[in-house]
Amino acid sequence: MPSDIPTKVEIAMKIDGSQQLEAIKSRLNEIGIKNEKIQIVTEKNNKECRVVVETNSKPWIEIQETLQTFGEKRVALVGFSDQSAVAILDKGDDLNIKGVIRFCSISANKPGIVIDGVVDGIESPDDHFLSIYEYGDFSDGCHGLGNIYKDANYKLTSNDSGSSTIRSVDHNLNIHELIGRSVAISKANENIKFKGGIISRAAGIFQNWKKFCACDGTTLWDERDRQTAISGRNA
Amino acid sequence: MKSLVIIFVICLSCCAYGEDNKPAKAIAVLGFSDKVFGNVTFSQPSCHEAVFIQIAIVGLTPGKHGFHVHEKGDLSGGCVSTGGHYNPDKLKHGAREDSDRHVGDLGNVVADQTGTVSTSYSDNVITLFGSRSIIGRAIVVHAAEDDLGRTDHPDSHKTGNAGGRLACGIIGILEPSDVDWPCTSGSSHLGLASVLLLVIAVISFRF
Ligand SMILES: [Cu+2]
Ligand SMILES: [Zn+2]
Repeated sequence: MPSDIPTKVEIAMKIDGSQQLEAIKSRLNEIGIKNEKIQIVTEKNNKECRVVVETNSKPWIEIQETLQTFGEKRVALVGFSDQSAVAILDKGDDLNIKGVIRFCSISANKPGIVIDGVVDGIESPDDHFLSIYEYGDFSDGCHGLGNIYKDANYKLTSNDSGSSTIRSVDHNLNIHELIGRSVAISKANENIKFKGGIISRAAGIFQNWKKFCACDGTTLWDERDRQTAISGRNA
Repeated sequence: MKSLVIIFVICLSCCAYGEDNKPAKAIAVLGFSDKVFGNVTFSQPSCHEAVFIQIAIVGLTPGKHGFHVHEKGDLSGGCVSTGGHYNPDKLKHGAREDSDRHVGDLGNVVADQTGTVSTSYSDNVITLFGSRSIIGRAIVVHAAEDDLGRTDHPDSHKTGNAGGRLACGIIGILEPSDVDWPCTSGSSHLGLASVLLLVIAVISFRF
C-alpha cells in the first residue's frame, strides 16, 4: 500500500528571517503534516532554510505547492529520500505535456521503489500511462528507447487542479537498475510516446546543501531564474 | 597465462556488482541551453577496457571550454543541480592525463572558429560499469577554460575555475550493439565466466 511507505522531501526556501519558520510549520500543519514530521534548518543568517518533510501519502508536489504560497521563485525541491532518482519529462514532440517523476527505494537492502510524480498538460489523464523503457537515448526524439522494461506501466490519476499525479509502489524494481533508462507518457492502446525523460541520479536529503553554489558561483536561485527564462521562450 | 587470470579476476570483480544486461554504450544529449547543442557518446567494450568518447557540439564561442562529468544527473534545478565534478575518491581537480584528478575531469573541449567541437578520445578512468558508472550522471560544458588545476586561483584545485554552466545533458543508456561482450551479460554468463576462471586457474597451477 502506498500510504504505508514514508518518503522524505527536502525543499530549499528563501526566507525573511527566523520569524517565518513558525508560519512555514503551520502552513504544513494545515495540509495534515504534523510538527514531528517537519525538520527545518536555517543558514545564511536566516535568509535561507531547508525544510525536510516526512510523509507517507502526500505527493512531493503538494508539499512544494503549499510552500510556494510564500513566493514561487523562492522555493525549490532539492532532495528526495536517500536512494533516489529523478526523470524530467521534457523530451518529445508534445509541447503541452511536462512533468517530473521521482523514484526512491523503500529500503536499502530489499527491492521495491516508490514512484511519485506530477504531469501537466494531459486532457484525459485516466487513459494515459507512464512506462519505463530500456534505454535513455533521446538523440532522436523518443525513438531510441527500446521496449518497456519489465512490464513497468503505471496509471496516472487526475487531480483537482488540472494536472495529473502518480504515486505508485513497485516491489519488483530497484533504483540501481533503472538509472540511465527512461520513462515516457503514452495513451492506452496507442504506441505514441508523448513526452519522456532519462531516469538519473538525484540528490538525496541534505546532499546538495553546499553544492548549489560550488562550481561556478551560480546559485540555485540564479539558475532558477535562468531556467524559467529558457522554458518561457520555448513555450 | 597469469595475466589472463588477472584480467578475468578484474573482469569478475567489477562486473559482479549490479544487475543483468549492463550496457556498454551511453549517450548524453546536451541541452538546457538556448544556444549550445550536442551529443556525447560513450562506448566501452568490457569493464576492464577504456571508454571511447565521441563529442559533437555546436553553438560555443571559439576556444576552450571546461568539460566534465558532474556527480548527479538531476536537472530539476537546471544544470546547477547536477552537483560538483564526479569525485568518488576525494582527489584534487586535475587534467585528464593526471593521476590526481576527479573521475569526472575530462579537461576542455576546443571549439573552432564556427563554435563547433568534433573530437574523440579514450579515457581509462571513467567507466560505464558498476557502482562508479557515469551513467545517470551529467555532462556539463562550461563558459570558460578549465585551468586543469594549474593556476593560483582559489578554485583551481576544486573546479578548474571554468566559469558558468553553458549546457548539460544526462548520460543515458544507449542500445548496446549486437556483440556479446564477455563482461556485459547476465548472471548465467557470470556463472560461466567463474567456471572458466576456475579451469584457467587449475591449468595455470598445474603448469
Ligand atoms: Cu563542470
Ligand atoms: Zn574536477
